[in-house]
Amino acid sequence: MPTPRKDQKQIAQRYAGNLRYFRKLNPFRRSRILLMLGCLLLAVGLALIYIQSIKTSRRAQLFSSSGGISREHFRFGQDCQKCHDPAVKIDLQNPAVMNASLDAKCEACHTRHTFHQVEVVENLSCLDCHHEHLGTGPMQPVADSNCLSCHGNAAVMAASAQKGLQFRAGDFHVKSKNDLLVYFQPPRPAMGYTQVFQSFEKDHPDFQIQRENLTDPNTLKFNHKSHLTGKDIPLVDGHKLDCAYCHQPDSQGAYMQPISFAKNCQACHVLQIDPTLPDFQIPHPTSVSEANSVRDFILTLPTQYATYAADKMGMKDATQVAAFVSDHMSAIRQRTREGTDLIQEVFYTDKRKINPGDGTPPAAGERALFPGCAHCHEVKTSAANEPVVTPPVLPDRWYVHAEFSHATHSTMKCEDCHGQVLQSVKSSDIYLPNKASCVACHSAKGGVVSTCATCHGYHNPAPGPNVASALSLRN
Amino acid sequence: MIVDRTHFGWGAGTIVASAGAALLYCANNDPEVLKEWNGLLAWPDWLGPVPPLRGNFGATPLGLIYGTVALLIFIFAALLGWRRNHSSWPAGRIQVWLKAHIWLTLLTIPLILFHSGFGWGGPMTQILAGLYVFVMVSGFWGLALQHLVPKLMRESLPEETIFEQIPFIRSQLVAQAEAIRGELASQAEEALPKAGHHESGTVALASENTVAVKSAIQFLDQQALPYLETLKPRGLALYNDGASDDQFRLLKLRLPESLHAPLVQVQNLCDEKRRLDLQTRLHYWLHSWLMVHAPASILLVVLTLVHAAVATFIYA
Repeated sequence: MPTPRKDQKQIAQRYAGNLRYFRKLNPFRRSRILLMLGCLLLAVGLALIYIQSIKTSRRAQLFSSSGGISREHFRFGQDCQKCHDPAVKIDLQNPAVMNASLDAKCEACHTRHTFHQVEVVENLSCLDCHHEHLGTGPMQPVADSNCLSCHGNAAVMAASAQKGLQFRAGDFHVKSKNDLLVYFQPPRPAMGYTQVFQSFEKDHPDFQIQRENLTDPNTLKFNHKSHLTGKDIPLVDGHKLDCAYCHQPDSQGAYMQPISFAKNCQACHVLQIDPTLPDFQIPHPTSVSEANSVRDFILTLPTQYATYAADKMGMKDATQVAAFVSDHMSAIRQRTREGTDLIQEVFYTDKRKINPGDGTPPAAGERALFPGCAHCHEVKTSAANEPVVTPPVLPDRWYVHAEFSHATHSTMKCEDCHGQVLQSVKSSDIYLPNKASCVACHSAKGGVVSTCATCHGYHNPAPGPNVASALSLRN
Repeated sequence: MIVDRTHFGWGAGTIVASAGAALLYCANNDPEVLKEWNGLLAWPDWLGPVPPLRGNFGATPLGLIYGTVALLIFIFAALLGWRRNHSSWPAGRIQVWLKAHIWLTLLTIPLILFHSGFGWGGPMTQILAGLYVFVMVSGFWGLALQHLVPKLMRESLPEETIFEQIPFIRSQLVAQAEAIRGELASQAEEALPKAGHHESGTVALASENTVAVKSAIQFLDQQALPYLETLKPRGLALYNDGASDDQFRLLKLRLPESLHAPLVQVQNLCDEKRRLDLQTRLHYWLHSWLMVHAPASILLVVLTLVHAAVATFIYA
């Protein structure tokens, strides 16, 4: 039921007996003030305890940590002094002291890498690129800005180029994690790798191989076009030759396994020198130390025949073995053209598809018998007038300043990046992907990450042995 | 504090300041932004390299500036309570303080985000961040209540009284109801027939009146007075507006007209008690958020000071 409204006077009259109400806090307000005072006391108390204990209590120190320790360092994440020297204070005006202390702690564990190149003009701290206390997940990847602080700065790069002139080529690091691998090491540009750029997509220099039209110095003769598209190439195990027959990924799938004669060539290119004995073959050297094995085999051919007769044919009787050797040596001598000796023929002959004995090429699809070392190798004559095969060097890594993984590109076809190789007829051709083919995906348009760290690493191993010493003879 | 057109300047200022802070943050983190400026504005050396070399943005010069400004705003915001209790002090109008409280604390959102580099940090900063979110959310809740509840009070409580006077008035209502009951009780005694002095018809009429008065007294004792006396009337028959009207209507139908006037008085008392209860409830709604907002703010300010002190003086 509506009540008639009272005027202010009537309302005020009702308070007549309680005009000093404001001197007394109502319970609601009183409890709020008490709660605030309680919070203030609690906060001040906690703060005092915390500040008192922060010098001595590890728990208090961890409490004020600026963030979680990354997965990589988590196992000693509870031990602040593993990285932080309590005697060293942060000095914002002079961070070098603190950085040096932390860097020393980093290097106590990370001992096996050096810092970039010798011509670096601005030494960086580990902390400049590797940021800790950003959460318990994996450490954050190095940001492009860290790289561009030098490579995007013209003054720094000019100073670096100038400083680089003081060093010899051998003073610069070669990215080599494994001395058994062969690295394609192009000559260092006069001013080093100091071109200023801001992003991979826009102004990163073209790769040196394409920029300088570099060729493969390998002396092995190989024709990709004929092997992959030639009509007279026989089937191997019922299959046509393809890229994957020779180029097999390594255990991690990142790079390809080295090519070897035994694994990749011998199925077709048998070293059979006696047409009547398919498995009587010249041994193919597998290392520089075996370089004379072919010559030794030919010089001891009667002995090789005798060994073959005893081991492979099971002949026990010496007379029988002698007859076997005599017959086959006679045949060899008849086949060998007059005036030339067998060593000359074996090493220098570069005949395609020659059938030993009659000199006629094999029918299409037949496997080629041994035509001579020079068919695939560069054969020179030594001062002692002896044939010398130049050891072929097949690089295992081409872009030595970058990392690559075929595994992460497994959704692509070989020809997407190495398409021109089907037209390659010379071993000197290098058909590696150029920058444009990478940018097609690794760009804002392509949508694939294109940070510096995607391909490059900052750290290098200590200067290793000269590249030449790392070369090994594989074929 | 109602956010109305008079806040336009504060709102615009907050947006401009936030945009400026965001622009500086982007410029400090992305060299491309600086290029967009085409050299019109040079990045001062004392603000450090672009982008900062370290992942901890809070420790960069710009991050420290953001953090310091946010801390000063926290302190200013916490002083509002003191300012309200000292309204006579020449420290600016309270209305201006309230507006500044709202808009400057809003400005702390981008400042804190930029100071933290959009990261949670360690346990200390995580607690601070949680506390900050709690304080801000309770502040937004309070602001929303201040928009809704006063409007509701204006509509539902035409005779709003001073909150602190409510217990006093409530006791007055009880006293008035007890006075009415006393009058009714004396009426009942006076109406009792005196043997041998009246004719039988008069005795019967007097007996009916006595019964009616006793019914009214019984209603007062069992319904009205318990309702007027209790602080928690929920569940009582007179708690609900409609149910109360029905009760009194039925009572008037049953009782003689001579008792209607005191019943109307009792009904008015119950209605006023109901309005006082509603005002109490709305008052709690209007101010209850302060029970958490103010203490949490105190905690936030003190812990932020500790955070600043530890980061600046102990680890630096």
